[in-house]
Amino acid sequence: MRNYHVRLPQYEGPLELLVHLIESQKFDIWDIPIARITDQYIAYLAQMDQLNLDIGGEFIVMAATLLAIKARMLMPEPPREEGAEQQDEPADPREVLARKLAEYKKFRKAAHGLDALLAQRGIVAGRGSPPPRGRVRYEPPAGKATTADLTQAFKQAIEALEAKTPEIVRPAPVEITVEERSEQLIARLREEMRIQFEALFGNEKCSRRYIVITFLAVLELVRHGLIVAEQNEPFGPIWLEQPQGGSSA
Amino acid sequence: MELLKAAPDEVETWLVELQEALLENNDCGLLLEHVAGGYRLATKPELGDYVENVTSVVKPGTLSPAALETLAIIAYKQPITRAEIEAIRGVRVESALTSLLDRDLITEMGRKDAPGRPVLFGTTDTFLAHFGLSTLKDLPPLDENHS
Repeated sequence: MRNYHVRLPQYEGPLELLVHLIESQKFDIWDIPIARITDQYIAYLAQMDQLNLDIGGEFIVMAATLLAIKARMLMPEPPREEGAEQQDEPADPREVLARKLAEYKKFRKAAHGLDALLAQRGIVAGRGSPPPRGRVRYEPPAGKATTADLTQAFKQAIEALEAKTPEIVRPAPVEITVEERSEQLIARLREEMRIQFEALFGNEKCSRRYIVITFLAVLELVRHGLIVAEQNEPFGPIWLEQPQGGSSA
Repeated sequence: MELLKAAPDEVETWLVELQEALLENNDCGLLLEHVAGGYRLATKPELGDYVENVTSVVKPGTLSPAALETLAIIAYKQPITRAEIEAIRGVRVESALTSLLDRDLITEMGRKDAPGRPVLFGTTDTFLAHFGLSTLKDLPPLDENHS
């Protein structure tokens, strides 16, 4: 069965509820008036039930535990045998629960301590701090917004929406592969000696895909040393040539 | 240290000097803090309001009480399994663990040599840095007073 994480309005778990009941009435956790606390605990669950709130399984388990303790408190203490087995069970049936409550309270206090540590420290960010999550706050412009501001904001919202709409991408038919284009380039360089890089895309009919493939082919060829790319001045034209050695094998 | 050809305690002295210099300089928005066993530059708390707008630094009140309690249990009792945390809190802690893992405040530290080999959790350097601690020994002492 799945376990549902139930968040009651005030108490996240049975221990929290119990600690609240005990502390608000200033009882000692080592000497809980078990009958009273059990009644109050069950009354709280009943209230939740009336409000149609789901009661987490942990709460029911705790109710059963409380009732079991209450029952054992009412029974006369069984005669102690002389064996060691009895030693495991504490004389006071409330002790196991009290220990749990003490442990829980200890860490609840520690949690407050951690929070206080943060509060005392203030907000300090350094290397290793989590990066911005792209959560940007809206700062209203100083003064009154004009119609123009609103129009502008509306336009931005629409543009953002359009940017979000995914473009429908259809696989393009394969015009040419990188290998084929590489061979074409080599062949062309044998004839022309020098080609201006931009001239490779001169043709208006070049598709985006064709340009990308051509560019990849150039990169591949340069990497393998089959062609050399030169640029004589910054932002000047890029020239593609056969390497000086001349062997285009 | 090797690079500086200086003894560790000498470097430490310089770092403390730098720390003081940064603190005194009001034109500088950074400070040097001794966290997670090292030193790092960080923004001064006075600038918190500005920094808060652009980062997702863990600040007081950001962690839910459930996450904070879970974090406290892990910090003091690590390495610890989920079942052990649940035994202390009396509730399931799965969602709290997820949020702490997401924030890199805790991490898996291997598995316990017990039936089912449950995952053990512990705190990270990010945890130390967030809380301004140099080591786990700097955590406020646990109140062992049973009352």
